[in-house]
Amino acid sequence: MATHAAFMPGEAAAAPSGLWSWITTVDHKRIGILYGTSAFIFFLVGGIEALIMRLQLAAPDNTLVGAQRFNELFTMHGTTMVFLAIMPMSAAFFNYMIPLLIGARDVAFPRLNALSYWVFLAGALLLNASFVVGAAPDGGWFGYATLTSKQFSPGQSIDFWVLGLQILGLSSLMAGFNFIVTIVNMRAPGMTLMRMPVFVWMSLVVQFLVVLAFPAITVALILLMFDRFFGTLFYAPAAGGDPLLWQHLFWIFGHPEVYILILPAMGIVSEVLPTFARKPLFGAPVVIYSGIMIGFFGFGVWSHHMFAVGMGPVADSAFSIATMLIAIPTGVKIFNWIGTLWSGSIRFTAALYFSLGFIAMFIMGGLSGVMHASPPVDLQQTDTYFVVAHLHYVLFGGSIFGLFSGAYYWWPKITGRMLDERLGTLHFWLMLIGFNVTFFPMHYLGLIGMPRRIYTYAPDLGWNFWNLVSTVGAFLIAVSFLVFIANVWKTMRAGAVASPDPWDGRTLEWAIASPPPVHNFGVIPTVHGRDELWLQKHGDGHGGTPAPRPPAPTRQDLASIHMPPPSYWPILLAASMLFMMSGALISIYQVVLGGLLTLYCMFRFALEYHRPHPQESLR
Amino acid sequence: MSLQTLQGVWWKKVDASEKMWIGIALVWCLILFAMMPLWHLKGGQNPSFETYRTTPEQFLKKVEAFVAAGPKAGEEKGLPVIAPDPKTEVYMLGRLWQWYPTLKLKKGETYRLHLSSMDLVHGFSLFPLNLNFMVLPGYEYVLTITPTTTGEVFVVCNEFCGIGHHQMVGKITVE
Repeated sequence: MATHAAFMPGEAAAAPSGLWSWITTVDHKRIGILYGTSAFIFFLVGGIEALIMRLQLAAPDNTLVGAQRFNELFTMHGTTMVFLAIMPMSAAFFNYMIPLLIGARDVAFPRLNALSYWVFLAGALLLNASFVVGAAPDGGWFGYATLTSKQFSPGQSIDFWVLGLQILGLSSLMAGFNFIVTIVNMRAPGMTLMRMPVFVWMSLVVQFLVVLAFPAITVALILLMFDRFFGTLFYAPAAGGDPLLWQHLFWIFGHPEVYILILPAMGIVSEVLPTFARKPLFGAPVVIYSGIMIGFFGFGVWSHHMFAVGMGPVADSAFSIATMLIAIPTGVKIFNWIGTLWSGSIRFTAALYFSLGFIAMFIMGGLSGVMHASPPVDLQQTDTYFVVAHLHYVLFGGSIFGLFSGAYYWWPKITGRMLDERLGTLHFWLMLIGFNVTFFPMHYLGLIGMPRRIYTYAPDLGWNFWNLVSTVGAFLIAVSFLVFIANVWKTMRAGAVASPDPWDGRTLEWAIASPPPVHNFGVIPTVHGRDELWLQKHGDGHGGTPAPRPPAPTRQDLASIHMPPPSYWPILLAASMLFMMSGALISIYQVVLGGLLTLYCMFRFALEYHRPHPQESLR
Repeated sequence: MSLQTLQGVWWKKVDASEKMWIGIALVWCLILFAMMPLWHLKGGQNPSFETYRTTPEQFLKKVEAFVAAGPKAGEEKGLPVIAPDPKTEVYMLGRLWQWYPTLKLKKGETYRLHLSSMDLVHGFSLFPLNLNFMVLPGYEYVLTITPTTTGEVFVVCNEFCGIGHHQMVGKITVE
């Protein structure tokens, strides 16, 4: 890596430091770290909620928490894990990795990117503030009408949920547009669409899903907000409204949302497997097409969440067949991953273990998914613990395993330190065993009739033993995350320093220092094929000469790099938005004041102008 | 679709065994798809999805008329037990947090069971039979049912309906 001597570790240490630099940062790498850290904290919060629920369900007729607290716990567990843990954890990788993978210096709209993060944090804080004031949402993460109406939920709990989700939706939409523009416009020269790493492709599909699916829930939430705040009757059956409308609007968002949660993990696995099998991704174009197809079909299957509402056999059959069709591109991907591993020269690292865990667990979750794609089967399984088992196999066994594979894979790049592989492997095995002990018995519990969302159950129903097993498993998962935290703690203090390319990687991020300098690339690389770095290091494997490496940056190159300057308007705009939205719970005057403040901040944000500083040069 | 020209003969002809496996997979897919209409038409596995629009008040009137008409077979936990004549219209409603009324049906007889909700979305699931059906307010569902075993069947609400969700258990006795 002699040509990159100018970017050895130490260069990045010159980046500005201190709390203020983090608050005003527009650097995609720092925003990625902020996203990842916040998401992990909320992941732990959601996990603690899950542990309390498992303790409550460990024994029949248990009274650890009451019905009300239990309803709050499962509502907040679902909402937290979907919107505050998995989505922002994916966003952390989008932010940090996409510009590095496509050879860009930042995202297309760096300040908008910062705004996305701060708005996300505002929504997350508003949602969790409900615990502090004792009005945590208790209507389920799906918030089915008419339970969410003022009549049946008179307090402020559902208001917190509605407002929190609206703010989070805003953040996702802004990030979605930002990344679409970034991926379409900011690729390095030579990086055609089909040369893009598969993770970037999956991210692009996810951004389109976000941009097309979030408006549906925004509309649903606005109708609900009108019902609750202004007395309209969109979902009230007594006045001719229709509670079924909510279910349709929610699930036409909710099903693409499932793919928003899983596709980033699929992208990560598609990066990790080729690196550690030391083979190119098997059938990469087909993996990409499959991802696009999954995203496309994702909009045509929402009613499979509603087979039991009596839509009629024609609608049920159509949605059932569409749902089964999704299994085809998903199966194609799984075969491609296995094909990538086939006769590869495999190195078993923690990152690879998590990817393998992803494939195995996701297959099981996918199979139980195809089971209730069939309406007659679904009518026996819907709203039982079988569905709880299925969704955790795809979201925990799928998304979380995939995201942690990414964390272990890119950790050296992001922090400049290697994680301890032995602790990482221990984390994996504890998590895999704990996960299966927790969720596999739920299949059985569901089939013998245990309904979801009950806070306790009678001792004579035959559910006692497997519920206890499930609780034991949940604590095993908790222990595995303690191992992860210990690993991070240990290696941040005294871990081995990571080289720029510790895994012998294939993609552009491994061509630069770990952690990367503020400007990422001294000279924007020219791309000659998929797996550009591999081509530079080893050639195409057919005896051709290796692709040329980008020249070492000259002083002039470095001096001409212009990076976006920091801005405090993103956090101010997000704060004033939070002030306005929380006003809906307190006083109309606060809404008006907050609205004016938001408008002011928007104008200042939009008109912010930076004169290039005469001495501004590369830090 | 490859963006690099690959050198030499890099591909193999599709093997006969691969063709066979693709064929088997294709046939299996077609069988799976054919099972869907078969389940519905021959197996009688799907509910009939006979659905009408109603309002909670209208449905409540019908249920009260049904309970008043009887014949009443006692009272259980404060709810009337109705033993309707075979081949008649039978009504049951879900509301916070009970299934009303309790029913007593005869084995081997066919009934038309009308379901609706007064307030929230409830789930009509029969324990331990594992049949699930969502009951929404504003919709009247008709299930044609023929009990085939005797005993007590519990109607467990399986759609989350607030704080009393876990207590919402109704009963159908078959004799």
